[in-house]
Amino acid sequence: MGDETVRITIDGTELQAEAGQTILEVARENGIYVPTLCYHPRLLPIGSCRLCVVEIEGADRPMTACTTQVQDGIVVHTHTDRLHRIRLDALKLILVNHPLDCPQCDAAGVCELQNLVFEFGIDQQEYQATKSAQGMKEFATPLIRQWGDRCVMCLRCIRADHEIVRTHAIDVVGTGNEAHVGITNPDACISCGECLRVCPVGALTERVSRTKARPWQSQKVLTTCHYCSLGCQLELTVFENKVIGVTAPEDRGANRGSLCQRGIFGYDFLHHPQRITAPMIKGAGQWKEVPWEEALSHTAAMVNKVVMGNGPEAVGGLISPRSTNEEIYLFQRFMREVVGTNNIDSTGRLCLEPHRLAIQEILGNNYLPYTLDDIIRGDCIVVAGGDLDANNNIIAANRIREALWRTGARLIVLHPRQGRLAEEADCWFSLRPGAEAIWALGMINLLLKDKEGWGPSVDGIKGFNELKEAAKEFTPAAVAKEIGCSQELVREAAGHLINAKQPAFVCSPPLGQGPNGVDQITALANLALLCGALTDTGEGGFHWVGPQSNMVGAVEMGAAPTLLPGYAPASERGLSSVEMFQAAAKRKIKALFIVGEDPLLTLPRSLVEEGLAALEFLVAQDMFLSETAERAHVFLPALSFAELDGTFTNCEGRVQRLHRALKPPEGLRWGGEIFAEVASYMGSEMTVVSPAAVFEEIINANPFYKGTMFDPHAPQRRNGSGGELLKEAAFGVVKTEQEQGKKDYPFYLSIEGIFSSHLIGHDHQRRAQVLAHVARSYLAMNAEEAAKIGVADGDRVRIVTPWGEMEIGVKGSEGMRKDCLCLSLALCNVDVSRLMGPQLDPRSLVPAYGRVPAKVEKV
Amino acid sequence: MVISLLTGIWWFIRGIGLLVASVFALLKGLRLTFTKFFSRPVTIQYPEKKREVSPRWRGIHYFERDCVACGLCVAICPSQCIRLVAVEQDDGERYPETYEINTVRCIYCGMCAEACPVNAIKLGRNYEFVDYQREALVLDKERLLANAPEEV
Ligand code: SF4
Ligand code: SF4
Ligand code: SF4
Ligand code: SF4
Ligand code: SF4
Ligand code: FES
Repeated sequence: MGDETVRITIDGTELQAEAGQTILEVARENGIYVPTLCYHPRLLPIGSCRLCVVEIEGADRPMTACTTQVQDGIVVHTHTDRLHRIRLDALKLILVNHPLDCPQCDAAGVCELQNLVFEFGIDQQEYQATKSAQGMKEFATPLIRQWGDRCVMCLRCIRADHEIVRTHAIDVVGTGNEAHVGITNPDACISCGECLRVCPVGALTERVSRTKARPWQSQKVLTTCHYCSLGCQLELTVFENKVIGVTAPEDRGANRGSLCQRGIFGYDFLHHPQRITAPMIKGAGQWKEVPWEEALSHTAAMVNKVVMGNGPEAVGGLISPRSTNEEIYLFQRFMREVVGTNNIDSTGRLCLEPHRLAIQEILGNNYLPYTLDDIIRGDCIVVAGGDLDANNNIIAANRIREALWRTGARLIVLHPRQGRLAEEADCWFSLRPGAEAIWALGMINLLLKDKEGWGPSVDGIKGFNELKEAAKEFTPAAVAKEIGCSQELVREAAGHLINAKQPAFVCSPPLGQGPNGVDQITALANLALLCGALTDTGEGGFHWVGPQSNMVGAVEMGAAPTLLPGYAPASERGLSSVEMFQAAAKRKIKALFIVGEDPLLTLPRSLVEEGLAALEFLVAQDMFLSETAERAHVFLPALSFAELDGTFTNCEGRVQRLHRALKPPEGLRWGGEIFAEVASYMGSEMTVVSPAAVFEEIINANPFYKGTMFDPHAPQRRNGSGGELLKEAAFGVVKTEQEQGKKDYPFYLSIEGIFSSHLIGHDHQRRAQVLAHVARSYLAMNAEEAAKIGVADGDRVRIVTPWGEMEIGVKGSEGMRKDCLCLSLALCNVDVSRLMGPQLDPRSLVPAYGRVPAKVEKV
Repeated sequence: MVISLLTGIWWFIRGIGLLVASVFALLKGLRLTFTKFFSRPVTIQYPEKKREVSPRWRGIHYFERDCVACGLCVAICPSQCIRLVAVEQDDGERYPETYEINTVRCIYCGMCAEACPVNAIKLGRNYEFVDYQREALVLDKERLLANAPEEV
């Protein structure tokens, strides 16, 4: 788009517009109504429905406003008799094949066609044509139904599939009157629901909820998605205290109306029959429902007993990064003030900490100011760590794709497997996890050689000479050999970075969750600093996308053994999650309070089992009787995200609100109230009034939240973002020596998706049932290697690591590094955590989810 | 003496006049009573005998045919007394899992019948609908189907 402004007149009003805007865009910006059907603001206009025709003085034929760009001085009329006739005819032609289905149609009441027909007052149409009836069919995904007869051929679904998600699962099939939307590649469909949400009529409908309700029977409640850290804004459609659908507003949040599979279809767990709604105490191996007072006073008494007998260090707490900021803040207050220990952790910290430490080392800052919007302004994008598509960070991946086709950005992907982004990448480095640092140093080596080509002067930055020295040995030849690619590829990637005006980095776990994990991120951040991706102004940027909705909030609220709220260092270091179970096994920790976490599924299993077995007292707070909760002594039922008021902090630092959409089952209370009551039974007062009041407390305790509001009028981010980011920048020191692979374990395994999939449930307890229905977890391995052990696609294999084994189906792929394995989890498998070892990265206190030594056997 | 006699006569005549006037008034008042007394009565011996209502009478609702759960009656109902839980079957067909009309709140306006695109809900000619509990006055799907008049 140009910066030039032009002046145009629409319906007698003189307006200013940017050159390059379409007439429709200008009209909409200025509140002038032009009917449309095939236009969608997120998609390229195709001008097919002809409802948006306008007359331009001097042009003899009417033009479609959605495709015509403004020109200086044009005079446009949007409502004339002639236009009305054209629109009326266009609409009648659309209605030729349209069934009189409204009473039975899901869209009725929110249907764009229905609204237009009403607006134009059509009660009959005189044209005739026959088209073969299509009835109702399953669409590219079983989660969506297609009603071909209701389709108006606006092609919005196909364009969303091709432009936003770029899966090419659907396309136009047939010609002329018989043309319809067909499924051309069902395997490519990722059930993202993008097509469903752009369809203006009832031709595509969801099939998660059996119950349906018209808009006048239901309410929409704006809230924040509780699955991943992108924090998409969504609206729950609530009918009789039941969520029956999810939509997303176009103008809020990082998602701009898009949602992923989990956000749009993953809500049925809210009404799961196995949900537990009463507190329980276990006696003689049997759960018994008890009144709240009894459960809470028993908990308090047991914790008190341990504190009296063994000191506060014998108590530990784990809180889920899907709890609200308010709950996490109160929980850490409970652990620190009431119990008196720093033994508190969250799996959110396990995902954020490596990144935080790397950024801390380089910028002296704890977080970065970038938003996902900044990605689109990047012209060379480096993606490292997890496969954003496989891990369901689709919204972030779609941003990158948008940058690719809208601005022609270059894409460099570092991942052992050729995922969807790698397929579209200019340079795909099939490197072993843990070799990111080597790659980064190789790039730095070439960038420094070509000093002239790129922008900011970096010689003055502390550590520059050391970096130069360190990068010396990473010549293209050395890097190519280490990574196992050609030297040309290394040079080409460096060339893209050198030519880039505004590079951007998008990283995600399991990057950093392996041996020397922090170093990998530090090395990438060094490169980002050198090539100018780290800016004060918020362009390009260095992004960290995580799997849990409140990953950032969990750490910022102080659910970390070393950090108090607002990243203030704790006076004494507590135990991290894994260490707590180690200590429990040694009988140093006697009581654990676990809120929403399921460590048996996400932390090294043998260690957790040993720890849990040795505990004197375990209290679990959850919606379901999870694997871990089953071994607890006291179970406290928890609220779902739809029943909670509170805030989440997403990966960009947006502080976003959760609104209570459902009335919780009788007696259930939010976490804050539970912690306060346990505290009062323990003899300490924690005054908890409401989430809003707790948020006020957070604002006072955490300087980064000063100025934010519980109920803001506009989207808000916690402050401290932006400003002089680079003032104290220094290049970090990176260790690159690699631990030798273990004998007999020829592969490096990375476990992806473990933190997001345990929420969907596992084979024995499917929580989000429809997601579980389409979820496919598999082991990706090189096709040749698979052939060597005699397995084909879909066959079951046994993965063996020094710590345990599990069985899973295999998916052979040509585009997979030979010595690597990727365990891609969409539905959790209770055995995955058996594969993990107890070693922690000494800096981040994170166990290894990447670079696990492994071998594969045929079952 | 003469004066007192004359006064007596005057009173006598006045008394007669008043008597005639009040008897006349009484008879006038009884005229309606007498005419009605000898005509046929308008009341009927309910419940032995029942009143015929006009064909356009709006009485208790019934389902004439299957409701497709479109929700239009819910939208139009001015007293908001219709509760509909629409459910989509596996074949995509919609049907009302729950359909209730709270006749205590209903004002018998007949708008629901007018809005129904498939002529499912109708207001019948039955007006006999009493119970000791309000709950019993909520019509559900089964009762609405059972309410359908025989001749239909
Ligand atoms: S798509 Fe719209 S117009 Fe067509 S049947 Fe459905 S509600 Fe009616
Ligand atoms: S669900 Fe997503 S991937 Fe599947 S057809 Fe629709 S847009 Fe394409
Ligand atoms: S299915 Fe919906 S979005 Fe796709 S072409 Fe038909 S009407 Fe348009
Ligand atoms: S991308 Fe993340 S936040 Fe957005 S809908 Fe999906 S899971 Fe939810
Ligand atoms: S009774 Fe008629 S108007 Fe009411 S929901 Fe059923 S079909 Fe629709
Ligand atoms: S909206 Fe412009 S042609 Fe359809």
